[in-house]
Amino acid sequence: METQHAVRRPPRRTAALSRTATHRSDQKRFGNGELLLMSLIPFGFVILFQYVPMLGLVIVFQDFDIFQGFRESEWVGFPNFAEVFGDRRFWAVLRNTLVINIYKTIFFFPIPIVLAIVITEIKNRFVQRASQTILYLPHFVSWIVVAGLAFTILGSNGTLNQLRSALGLERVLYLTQPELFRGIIVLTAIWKESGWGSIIFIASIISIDPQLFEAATIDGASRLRRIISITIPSIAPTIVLLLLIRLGYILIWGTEQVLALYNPTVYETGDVIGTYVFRTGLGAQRYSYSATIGFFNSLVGMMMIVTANAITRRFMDRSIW
Amino acid sequence: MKRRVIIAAALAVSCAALAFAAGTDENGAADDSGTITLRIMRQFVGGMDPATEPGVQVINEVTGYETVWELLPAESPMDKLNLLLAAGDEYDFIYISNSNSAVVADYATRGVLTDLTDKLGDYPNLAKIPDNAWSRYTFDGRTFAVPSTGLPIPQSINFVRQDWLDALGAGEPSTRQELYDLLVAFRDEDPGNNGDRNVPFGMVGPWHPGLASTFGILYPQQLSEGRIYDTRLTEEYRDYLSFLNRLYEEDLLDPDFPVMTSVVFREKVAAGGIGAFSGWVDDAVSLHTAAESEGDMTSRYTALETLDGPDGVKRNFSQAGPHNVGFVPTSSSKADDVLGWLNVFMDDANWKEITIGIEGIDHEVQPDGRTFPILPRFDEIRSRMWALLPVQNGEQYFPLWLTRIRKNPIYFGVYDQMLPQVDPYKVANELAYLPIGENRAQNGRLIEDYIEEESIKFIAGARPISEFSEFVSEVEDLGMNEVISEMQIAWDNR
Repeated sequence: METQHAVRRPPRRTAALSRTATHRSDQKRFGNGELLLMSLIPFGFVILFQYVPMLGLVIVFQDFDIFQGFRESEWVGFPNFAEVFGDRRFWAVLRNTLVINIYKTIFFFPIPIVLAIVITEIKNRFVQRASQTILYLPHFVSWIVVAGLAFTILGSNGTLNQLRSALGLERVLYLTQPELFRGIIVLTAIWKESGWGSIIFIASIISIDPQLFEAATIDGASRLRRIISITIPSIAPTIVLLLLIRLGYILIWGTEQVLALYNPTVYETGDVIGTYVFRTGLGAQRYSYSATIGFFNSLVGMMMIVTANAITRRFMDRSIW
Repeated sequence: MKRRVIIAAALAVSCAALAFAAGTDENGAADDSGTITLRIMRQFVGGMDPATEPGVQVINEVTGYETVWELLPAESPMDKLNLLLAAGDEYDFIYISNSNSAVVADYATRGVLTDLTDKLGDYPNLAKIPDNAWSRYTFDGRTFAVPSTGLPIPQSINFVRQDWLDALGAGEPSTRQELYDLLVAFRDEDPGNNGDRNVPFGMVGPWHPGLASTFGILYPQQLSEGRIYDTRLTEEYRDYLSFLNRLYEEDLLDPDFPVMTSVVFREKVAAGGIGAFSGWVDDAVSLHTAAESEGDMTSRYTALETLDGPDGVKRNFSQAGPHNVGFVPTSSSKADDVLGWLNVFMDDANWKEITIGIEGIDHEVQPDGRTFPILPRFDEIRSRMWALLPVQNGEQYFPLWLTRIRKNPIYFGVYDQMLPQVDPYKVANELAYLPIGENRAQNGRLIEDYIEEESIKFIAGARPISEFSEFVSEVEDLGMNEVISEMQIAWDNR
């Protein structure tokens, strides 16, 4: 088994090395001018589509009127912020958003990593490919369809309740219990996105130098030891990177999912910032109000990334910048 | 060198493309034959592609105008409408459903709608729309929109499985108590043999005038001795919620009620587990279709006669009242052409030809005097004509509409059985045509959503009914009192 592993890997590695070599000689031949010129395209793209629209953020200080545009709308200062932060329900949805996303970070985030390790440890290529494909599939099912599936499984007469009644247990209305809702959100997210989330970790594991594994095997390291001492440390930068990116989205992540799955009886634990804005802001065309909450989300996201980056740089010596 | 040539060529091509684009700016003016082209925008209709819709062709042939139709998106249509009006896009006539009509007053004050007041006199057929409908869109004596009125059919109806009734040997209930007793029998005796899947009663959403009428509630706002009040803040509404909560607690109301959507509900009905439901006319048709598509022809629902009100008098919610509303943006230079087109549309002969076609080709009169569509031609050409009527007078359209529904045996069966059960009891909403004031335009949606959410919680027991008075003050805090006093002023000055 192990020899097969060793034979398969080296050619790939050589190919990668030779690519790097070609790249270097290209750089010599053309110089840096062309590269800088080429980079103008992505830079221009980012400025045009990311920075210029940010000017629109001025509407958080305005009583924005779509017919007057942001040039002529009345400047009002901070009442939009006062309205958002003075709203008792806003704090409740902020709490829900944080709790749900912290749950997701704790329970969902490690699963793609474990899946990636397990998949790459499968030696039978057919089984490996097949299980990968099967795991990716749920990602392509829309949340609306997942909500339908959840209803079929968790509804009053769903699969789970049929099972319970066969066992002589009481019926449980899973979808209308506020205390169960966050769990359902985390579980459905795991079901739908774990496989897809594992792709990047699989790529990262495959790029580990196979010689490390071979050397460890020769030294008598068990499979578990190789995972702990080689695989995990090698993919740690990827893990940290993705964790940091995820923290940046902590207030935005998962709105569509909640929107598809929730109902008024679980608003108390399930209503998140995105769904609250959807109902009370955009639906009622309160643009300044919605933009203020969006601005707040971005600010918190940025603070999260900066802080987390500083922490990982300090304690793990790994960071995005 | 070679590279420079390529760049120069690329620049030349893009400049030429720009010049070409600028030069071919279409303005949709009259073409060579003198036909007037109008760009029409309407709210989204599922399954309709205006580019290939045969109904558009019929309209163009009958009216002699060339109309090009587009649809607002299904998601956030009003955002899109705001954007295109703010950008001054050249649409000649835009019409939207009554539920969004609050924007008309706002648009009118912003000056993005053409003032039609002085033109209307030239188009006599538009006078077929009743005065109170026009008054809804007349501000300081100036009229900015062309209203439509709805069909005078009762909307909220209770249905019950005829085979379940037969199995129990029970009669049709005519009071709330009798309905309750019937539901208990459905639960205990399980006439459908559904076991765990047995659901005596179902509904989607909390607002069902067909049941609320037994507590004296028909419309969100009603009049009492000249004073307007919101019915959802009354003791009667609390009793209505308590009654539904009792149904929920006693396993009579569908346990999935809080998560129910109309699509899921249709599946449940098709699966045959629901004994009775409070629904809307349109649901009735789609639910029958769903049940029949499962091949279950026995699961026929009978429309119940309107239940007794608290004083023993039967009253039913009527759809008569404001329907769609259309307007001409100031960016269009064709206000007169649009009104001309609507005027031709509203001509009796044209209206008839557009909606039901020509006798002997599209429809036929049977010996009993009733008119029936000739299928499949009628369906192929006119099945979506309902969505293409830019203006309508519901009362006048009603007899022709009855012909249209006969195109489908399910529609026909439902309406034929249903209308006599509920039609005699319909009570028009006196407040239907009140203009929508600023407070209602601004906060109405928020308030309605909040009432709906909390009502679902009360019914499902997620909020105890003892908190009803807190609920009332929460709704008042959202601005309900201002909405009501604004309506009162409009009513007093009508």
